[in-house]
Amino acid sequence: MIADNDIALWRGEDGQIRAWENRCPHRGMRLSYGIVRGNTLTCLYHGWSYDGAGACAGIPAHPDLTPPKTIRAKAYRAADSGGFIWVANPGETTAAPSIDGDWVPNRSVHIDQAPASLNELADGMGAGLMSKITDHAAIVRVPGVEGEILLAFLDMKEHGAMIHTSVPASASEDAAIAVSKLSTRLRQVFKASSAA
Amino acid sequence: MKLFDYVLSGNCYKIRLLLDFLELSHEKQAVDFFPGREHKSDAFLQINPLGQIPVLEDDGAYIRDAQAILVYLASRYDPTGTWWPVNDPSELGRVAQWLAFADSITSTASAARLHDVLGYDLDVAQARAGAHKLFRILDDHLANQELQGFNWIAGSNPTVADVACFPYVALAGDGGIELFYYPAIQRWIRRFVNLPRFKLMPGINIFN
Amino acid sequence: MTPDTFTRSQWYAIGRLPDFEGAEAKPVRLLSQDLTVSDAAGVLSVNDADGRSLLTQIRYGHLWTTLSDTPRPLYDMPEFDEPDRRLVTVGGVGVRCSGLRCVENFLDMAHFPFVHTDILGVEEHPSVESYDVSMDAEKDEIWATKCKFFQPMASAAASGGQMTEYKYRVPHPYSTILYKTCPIREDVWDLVGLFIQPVEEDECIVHSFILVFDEENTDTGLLHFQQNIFLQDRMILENQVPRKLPLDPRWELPTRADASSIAYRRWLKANELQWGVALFNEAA
Repeated sequence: MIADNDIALWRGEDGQIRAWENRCPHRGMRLSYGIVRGNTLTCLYHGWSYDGAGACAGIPAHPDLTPPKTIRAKAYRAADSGGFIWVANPGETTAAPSIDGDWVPNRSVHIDQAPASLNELADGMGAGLMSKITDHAAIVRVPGVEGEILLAFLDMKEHGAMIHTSVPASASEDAAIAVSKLSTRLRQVFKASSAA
Repeated sequence: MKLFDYVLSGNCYKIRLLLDFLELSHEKQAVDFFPGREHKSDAFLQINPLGQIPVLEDDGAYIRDAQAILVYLASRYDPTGTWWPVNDPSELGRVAQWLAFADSITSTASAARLHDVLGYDLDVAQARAGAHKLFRILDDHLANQELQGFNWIAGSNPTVADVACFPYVALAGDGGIELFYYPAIQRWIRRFVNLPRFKLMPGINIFN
Repeated sequence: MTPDTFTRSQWYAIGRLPDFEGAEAKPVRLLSQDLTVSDAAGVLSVNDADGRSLLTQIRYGHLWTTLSDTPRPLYDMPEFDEPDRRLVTVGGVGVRCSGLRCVENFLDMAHFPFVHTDILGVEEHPSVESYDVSMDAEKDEIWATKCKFFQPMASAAASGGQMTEYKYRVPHPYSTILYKTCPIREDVWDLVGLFIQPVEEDECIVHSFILVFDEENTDTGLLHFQQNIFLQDRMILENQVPRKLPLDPRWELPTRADASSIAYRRWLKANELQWGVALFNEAA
């Protein structure tokens, strides 16, 4: 979910990540229920398939029909970097950040309430900011935990927020688990006032 | 072997899954759970005085309670000894612990589903909130299992703990419980549906 | 939004008769209104929140009511009077979407191979051949006829795949009936239908029935078959965006296979139906 837009994320055999409006243009079915085959995404409802660029590639009810070019899934810009998937806000013009080093994804944790800022998030984790990447992502260090942590959050407003972490590919299993537990603990820090 | 079965019941689905995983031939007797409430009829109360499904009839005996039936089937009919790992006490302890957890999932996520799908009169907000609490615990657990190289709830093999937890987690959407918040659960569902002889039940997004 | 005249003037099924046995002011919701149903020695009555008594009738195994004092007559299904047919009432299933979406999904054959895989369709035979759609002007209802589809297991009584012939009927904005080839008798149709109880604009309860010639299956077997099929549809219906039905053709793009859906949307528009409909400017 980006800025109130429901997004379907998928990765084809070619490894490319794609972020589309979560809605089949035919009858509005969420594409996140679809099935990835090769480099196409097939809608669960009527089997309409879409190629990697979002163009409709097949309508099974009419096997001989070449789908009109007007049938397209709406695409957002998406990229892989630092073990995270980045999706651009509709109005965003800059490229996804390129993050140096070899990172592996660690955790994605849901919290009830988004932190007001990166600083608040880092404080909540007991982390020190090393370098800021965007307003919502930074490299941090936590005393007692070996290595750096890539930390980001996605504010989903009334749906709370997601916290994402990556660790260096060289991180030990112990370090990875320590970071995972730090992420989990954020649930207690950023609780809804009327906690569910 | 005969399963007293309701097609929309997640607890019956657990049994159907394990029967298929273990390739056990069986017959099914359809119970009119909804709208007929046959499980509360005098005839059915003779079979299970608790008035609940599933019930398994095997060798002339009736076994009730979904988790108990899973344990029975795996310990009696699984030649590999992996689904109910009696030879590994520490793993067995973990499996049993998550079986109890599965019961809590039933009383929350399944309750929300009964409310939304079949119109049961209950506090659905409380049921959903209870399910979210449990799903966070499960998501954290599965994520930490992955970081240690384990794909399943109790270790490196699927066990009856996975079978017991799977249905009402995977069917949570039917009860208005969004699985979007739980990426490790989604990855576990994707692994589960790819198990050999897995059969899908309506209401499950396979995240493929 | 208060219901438009066309919506308000209809009769609605609100439950099966056994659902109200011994009811004492049992709450029921219809068209965003709280109603109650009471059973006084076998006579069912429906009241609104102000205590006003509403018109009722018992038909097709269900209790029907209306918010109107001068409702459009409830449509006829003479098949309910034919001997030897078996009626199974499936029970109300809640769905978070406009009931209009449920009607449209019911009219749609193209989803069979993907949603009802290996039951009502197979992926190897996804093609939808042209069928006829017509309006019965006198009764003001829609018919889709000469619908043919390859089905591996068209009903609980079917054994093996067959080309199944279908007719669909929409006599009411929230009701639809399927007439399909009977697998065991010639020259008769089996009926499956939906009586939808619109609860809110984007929420409904679907009461379905089966009225068939079948000597092989138990009632419970028929019930399970139908409930399983409907739960497959339910996951789709709850994940269509928006939850209300868009009538503007710019919003959702139909193909020839959607001819009955196109006719249905046009018919709703011609009758100035607005309640349960998504407006195009809400799309952004």
